[in-house]
Amino acid sequence: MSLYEFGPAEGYHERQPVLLLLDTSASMGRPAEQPPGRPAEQPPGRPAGQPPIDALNDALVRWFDGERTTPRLRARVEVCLVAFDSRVRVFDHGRNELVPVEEAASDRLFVPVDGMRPPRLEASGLTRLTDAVETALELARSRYRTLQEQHVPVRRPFLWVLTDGAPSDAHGNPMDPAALAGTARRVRLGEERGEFVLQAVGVRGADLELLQVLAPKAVLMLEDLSFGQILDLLFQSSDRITPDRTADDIHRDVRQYNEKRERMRRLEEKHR
Amino acid sequence: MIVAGAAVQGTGHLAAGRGCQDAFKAADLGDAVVLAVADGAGSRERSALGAHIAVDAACRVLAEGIPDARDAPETWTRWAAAGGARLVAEYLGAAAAVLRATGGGQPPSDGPAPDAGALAATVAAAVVRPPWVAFVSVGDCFGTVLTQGAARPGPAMEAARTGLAPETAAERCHLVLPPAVPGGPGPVFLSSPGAALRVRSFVVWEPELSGVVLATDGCTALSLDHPAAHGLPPEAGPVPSERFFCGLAATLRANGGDAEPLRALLSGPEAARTGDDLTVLCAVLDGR
Repeated sequence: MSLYEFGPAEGYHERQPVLLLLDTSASMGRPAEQPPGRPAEQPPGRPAGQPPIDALNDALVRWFDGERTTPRLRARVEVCLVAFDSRVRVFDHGRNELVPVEEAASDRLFVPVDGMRPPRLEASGLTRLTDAVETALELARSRYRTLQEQHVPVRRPFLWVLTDGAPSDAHGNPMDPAALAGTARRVRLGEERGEFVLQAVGVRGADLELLQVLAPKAVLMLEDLSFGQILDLLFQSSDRITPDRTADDIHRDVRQYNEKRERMRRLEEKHR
Repeated sequence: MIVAGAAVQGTGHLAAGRGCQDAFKAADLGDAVVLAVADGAGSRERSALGAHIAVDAACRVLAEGIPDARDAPETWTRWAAAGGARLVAEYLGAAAAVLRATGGGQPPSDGPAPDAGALAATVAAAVVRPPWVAFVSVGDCFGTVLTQGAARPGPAMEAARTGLAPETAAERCHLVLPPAVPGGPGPVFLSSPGAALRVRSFVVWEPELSGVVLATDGCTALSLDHPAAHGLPPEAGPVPSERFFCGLAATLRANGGDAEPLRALLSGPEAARTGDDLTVLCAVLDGR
């Protein structure tokens, strides 16, 4: 009789860091403007009059508490939450709060997807998007290096920027394309080197043109989706990255996947 | 020898509407067995076809002229190296013929060969003639050998004293053909430039050989332990799981070679953690 009962191995599972960069600027605290004479159109899951930040908080809790994840995502994906307004803060899982990155313990920033208990986000201040992206790039590189040093199979980190506004400088002035160029160049270079993939998602009010400066091939405007649907799209897309795809391939895949979802949604509505 | 294998469509492929792009094939020659597994490149449209061409080519090429079990080591190593080169040539020839026949290659027969990249696949093959095993590999598939020594005198004497059944020496597994290093360069495919120069070939002489297992790279998480699970530092690299490899061999010996338990594991919740296709093929010595 064998000493061994046939079964799977231990602990050599592939990991994939996913960084969610969430806009918590003041505009996220304002309900969508209601055009005169008719009620504001709200995507499903975002009740009229509800500030986007509340809808985002509800969606985060529901998504991470719920059964929205597959065994593959639960085993592989580890999430880091980065909130940006006038400051850039990261979610320290051990302290259960958002803290400036220099105060965070590096081993508590990435949390397995089914262990994430997101904090309650509050909206205030400016939109320091470039600072958030620069911080996230460094966190992604650092996590990737750490996992490689631990000889853990690891996929490229995926960074998702979710915003409803336009990047502002430290004084609250809107940034112009020239001011975004340095960050955009570092994003592009990192993607070409296979260090990470960055995708931007604009919701109602987002400045599409400026987002396209930051990530020319990687901007989705998802004004008609609820935050829960956006999180679905985001994690399902992260799941579809394979190591042999370039960043451009992945951006095209995400766009096509979203278009397909949209077509399916319209078809379902048509026949409802 | 018991030969058993299974290939299962990865859950990531299932979610994306893609079929299984792995393939496996074995040729049982009586006192020798040729095993081959192949992994079609996920991003190439016709790579599943390429994987099937690869295992077919491996089983045909490596079934020819296998050295005798009593031949010298250099005879085996030379044969394995030549076999690797012939495998690449055979694959490229077959791929070119398929592309021409199906409109994938426009040039006439005397023109340059069509690009076989559309059929990109990695492959690992093993020729088992105990106590020898010859390995030939292009890309990141991996392989282990199993060994099982005779019963040690100590436990047998103890068994005689206690009247309990004598204990046989535990079967062990050895990762002789490791998978790609995490974070390393991407895999070499049979269709990659200079593939013939990038073939890995080697032979193992193991008088206590009890089995050989090949697997595609999707199986790493399912069949390899992290070194920390054995109290080893990370740089020790992955350790073949005895639970997986030795458990598989014992299961196949017990059920007469039915691969259903293997298929069930590859289709189960633990395997769903990876999205990749999963293929395992093995030859287990059955004591005859």
